[in-house]
Amino acid sequence: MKYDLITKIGLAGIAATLLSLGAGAADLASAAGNLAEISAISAQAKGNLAVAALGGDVEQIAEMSKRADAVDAAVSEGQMAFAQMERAAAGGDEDAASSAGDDLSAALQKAKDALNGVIPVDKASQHQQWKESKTNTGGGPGKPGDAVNVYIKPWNTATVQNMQQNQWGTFFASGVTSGEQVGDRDATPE
Amino acid sequence: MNKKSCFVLMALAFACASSFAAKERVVRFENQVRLGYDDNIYQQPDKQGSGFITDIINLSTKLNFSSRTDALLYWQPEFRYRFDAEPKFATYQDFYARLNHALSQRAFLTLSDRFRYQLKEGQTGIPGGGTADTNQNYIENDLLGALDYTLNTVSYLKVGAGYEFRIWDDDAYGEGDRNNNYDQITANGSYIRQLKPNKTEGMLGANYNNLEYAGNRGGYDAIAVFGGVDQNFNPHVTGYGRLGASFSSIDGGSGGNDTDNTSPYVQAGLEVNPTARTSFNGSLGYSLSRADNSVYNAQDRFNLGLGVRHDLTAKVSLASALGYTYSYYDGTYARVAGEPDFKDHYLTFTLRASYQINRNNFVDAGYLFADRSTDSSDWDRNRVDVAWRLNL
Repeated sequence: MKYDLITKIGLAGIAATLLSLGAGAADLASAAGNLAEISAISAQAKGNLAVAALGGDVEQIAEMSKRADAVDAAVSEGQMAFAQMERAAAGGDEDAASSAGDDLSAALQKAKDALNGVIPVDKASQHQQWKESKTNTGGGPGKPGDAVNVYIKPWNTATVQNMQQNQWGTFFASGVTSGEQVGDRDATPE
Repeated sequence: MNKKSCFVLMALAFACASSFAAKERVVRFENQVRLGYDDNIYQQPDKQGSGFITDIINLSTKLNFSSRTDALLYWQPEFRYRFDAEPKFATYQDFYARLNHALSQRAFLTLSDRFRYQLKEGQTGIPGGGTADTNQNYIENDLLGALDYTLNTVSYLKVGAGYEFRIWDDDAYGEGDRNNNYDQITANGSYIRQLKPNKTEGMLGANYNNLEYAGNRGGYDAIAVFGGVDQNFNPHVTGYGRLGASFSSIDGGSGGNDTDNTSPYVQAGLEVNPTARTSFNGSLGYSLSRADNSVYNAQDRFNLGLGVRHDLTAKVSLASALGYTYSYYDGTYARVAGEPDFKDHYLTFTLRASYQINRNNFVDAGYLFADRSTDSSDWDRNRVDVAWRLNL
């Protein structure tokens, strides 16, 4: 009995020592687990796509295809992050390894989101879309009939310009025109 | 016609003529005729109502010159006829031209010019007279340019500059004793960096403004430095925020002392699209701005805008907006010494319903409420209209 207890305490001590000395190894193991989870999500996304394809619903197939593509992108990001993490751990660069680990966790979250249909619009493509839409007749994003927001400052970020165009579209649709601009009054009361 | 007006007209003519060089042109036209009643046409405490008929045109042309260059030409005139006003006719017109050009893989140039022409003669029918009794015709031009330069895959620089002026037709109001004509120069620079892919962009920026009113009235110089974030919270919610400080020097004009001032600089916005049929948006801002009151050279201005759109059915849609502006004129911002502080609240609420008859024709019904409350006068206004809208 006494021997068993000493053995257990000893093993626990050795395990704790190994864990504290080899935290990097444990992180890598955790990262490998995350990567495996992303791969499993990818398989599930492809399975969902196959089920949709069998169902024949065109919209459902398009949606599942979009999700599977987004999950694949996350898989790719995860694999790159894991490779960076391995290299950083081998080189003893803990900060880089930690950063790569964070990227891997983000990729896992992205894969989970994509599987559930939450696919954020890529900033670069959003910016590109906005640049293209700036030349659309009738103005930027928003409804086709929206009036052009002539007060947009081109030095603002694409997100800000986009939102200001949308807000202008709403104000114009609600009845505000150049004769009643918000904040642009006629005579001053002085 | 003075030299500035001539240059503007030449630029507009050049912009229109260049449209013939485009490889591809797409023209969109919308005409809206509103018939309604306004219970305070002169926007005065002593109300006078009138029926009105308004024609609002939206004409825009998209021009593609090449894969690297495109442009937009836009004209929005509004012709308003008030049955019981004197004079009966008022016109507001906005011309707008924008050019986008990719200089290289890294550099992207945007140039835009906005020209506004307001034709509103003296409102001689105002009960008891008042300041709106003067000619309110003016032209305004705002030339802007910006260059995006991509530094690497996650960051880019934006630099921009602008020049704006307004010239009143009434010399006594534009120059003379009130000097409401102005020139404004703006410069802007910012560094933008992606912090989280697809989610977050951070930025640091600075904005310089120099405003000069006509004659010896003065104006102000202001530099705002700020940091900010653009955030995609999820596919349905997007927002941005800017926070910083504005350091300004406001001219005291004749008999006054110049004032150095530090004030907050805040800009924020949020857009929520819970479904494809519904959208909400909101924005707010606080900064030093050009005065809307001839007595002062600047104002501390807070503005709030809220909007909502909803498609009830495939044919019926609703839109509503709320705008609120609070202007604070500190006595030290006055162009002459001894003026008191002055506060100005301005609220507008609009609601509009639209029914699509067929592909091109719509009928609308709208309501507008405006309320202005200042230290010198208060008024409110109700306007209702029904409209026919044609989209081509």
